[in-house]
Amino acid sequence: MGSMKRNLNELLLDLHLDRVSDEDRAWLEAELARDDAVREKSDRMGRLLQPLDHWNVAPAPGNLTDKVLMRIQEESVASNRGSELHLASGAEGGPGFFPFPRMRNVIAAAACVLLMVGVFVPGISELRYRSRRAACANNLGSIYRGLSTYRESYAGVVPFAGGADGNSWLPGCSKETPFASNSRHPYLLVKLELGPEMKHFVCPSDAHGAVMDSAGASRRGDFALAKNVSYDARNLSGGSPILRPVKTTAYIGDRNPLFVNAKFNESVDPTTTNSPAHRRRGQTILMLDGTAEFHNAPVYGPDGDNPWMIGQLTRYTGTESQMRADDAFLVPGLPVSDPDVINKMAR
Amino acid sequence: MDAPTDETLLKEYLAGKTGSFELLVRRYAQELHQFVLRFTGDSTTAEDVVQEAFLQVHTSADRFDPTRRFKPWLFTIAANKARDYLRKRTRRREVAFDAKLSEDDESGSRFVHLLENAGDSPDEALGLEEQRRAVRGVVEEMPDNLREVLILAYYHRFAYKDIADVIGVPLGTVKSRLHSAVGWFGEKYRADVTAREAE
Repeated sequence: MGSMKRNLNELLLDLHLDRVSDEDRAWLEAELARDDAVREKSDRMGRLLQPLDHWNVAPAPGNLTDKVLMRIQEESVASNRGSELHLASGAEGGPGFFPFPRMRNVIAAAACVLLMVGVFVPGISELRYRSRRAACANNLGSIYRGLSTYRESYAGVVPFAGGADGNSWLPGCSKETPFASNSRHPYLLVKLELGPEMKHFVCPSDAHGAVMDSAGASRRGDFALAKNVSYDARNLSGGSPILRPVKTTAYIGDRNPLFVNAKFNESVDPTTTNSPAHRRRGQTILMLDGTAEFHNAPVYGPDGDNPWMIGQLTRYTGTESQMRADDAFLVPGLPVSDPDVINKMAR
Repeated sequence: MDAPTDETLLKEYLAGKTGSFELLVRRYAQELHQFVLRFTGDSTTAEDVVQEAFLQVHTSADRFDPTRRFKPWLFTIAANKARDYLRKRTRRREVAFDAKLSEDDESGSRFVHLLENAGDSPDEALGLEEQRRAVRGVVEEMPDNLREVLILAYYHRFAYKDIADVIGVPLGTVKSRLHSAVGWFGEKYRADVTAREAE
């Protein structure tokens, strides 16, 4: 009897999931018409499954296919580089491989090369630019994975490595104000091995970026050098850091153009200037809801928050901190072990 | 003219027709994203996993067994990567996912019990959005091995045999896990909705 019940239950489930054979369907329909108990059981099954229909998930981003293809192209380019080099060196070799060409052949070949360079180089350059941008967004996506794990473990707050009230986030701000690098906070994500790796903190478009050696990372409190971190993170230095920001604010993104070489540059207009990271065409910003998108202007979201500024403040000394949870302010990560930072602190 | 099958597209791709691979990506990126998003609950991870899965298809295309079907193979790759992510996450999260099913649960006793005793749907008083949240919360709490089967069977309508291929277990185990998953869902959803209504 037990196994018969089990079989009927299995068949009813299959019926509701539309995966029952024609033969079984005919048998079940006859049973449903004949037996009230079976019909009642089938109704229960329907009620049990019906709430699952409510679980709709967000559609994939519209550019997902492009991202996939770009990623594959990127990997193909990387893996083919070795064989291209191998072919080139092989072609130089054999005697008589390129015997006494006539001048007109040389000119024709040179013209072809010039034509191809003219046609393809701009396209390749644009392709590389887009590929780097996609890789940058992937980096921030990896950082988000670690961030969400951290937030699950620490009651929803963002990584915070501590810091006394009144610390500055720019070195050499004043003799009285101790400097504490803001990159210590996101560094916790690698220190605690929450997912992101050192390479995820270096933007592929950052010509000066260098991936830090991860050996001994768990014993350190910050990146070794400023070039190990291409991204500027939400300011948690200064007085009263806001550790529970709202989901639609920025957490980390491409470099804030106001602070180049660890100095405030007052000639930069923060309302119109993009990050230097991606040919100044825009910046990739990771929001606390997990979206990592490229913005063509330094504003985002329905309220047009500007991650380069606190409110409408346009001058910074290095001690300012935002006062509202929905006002993100991205500041540079400047590890104190970096010789340049040490020099600036000494001034 | 009928659209080319997945297996034909992969064969064409291996023969040098790159556009065929793009067609495969366009055909499955959306569905694969939905699967991984439901399985992991994280949109960024879903994007990453989809990219990684297609990258692996690209690099391993010549090792594809032509006697198998492409779609379960693709989902197998994505499911493995999603499981890796979940393993990393749970290792640090120490959640009560170790509420391991007993042998009795594995055989679907909850499921049978619910069919014998379930009353009216308890969620009628809740708004649609709240029902959606409740469903999501309950499915996300479900043990990974049950959630995976439920998602493939209910939302992607995979055949039992294909699910068995994707997760690498016998057919009978797929069926018993599906019953356990439905039973788990019914029981927890009822408790969750009752608690919400009491608030």
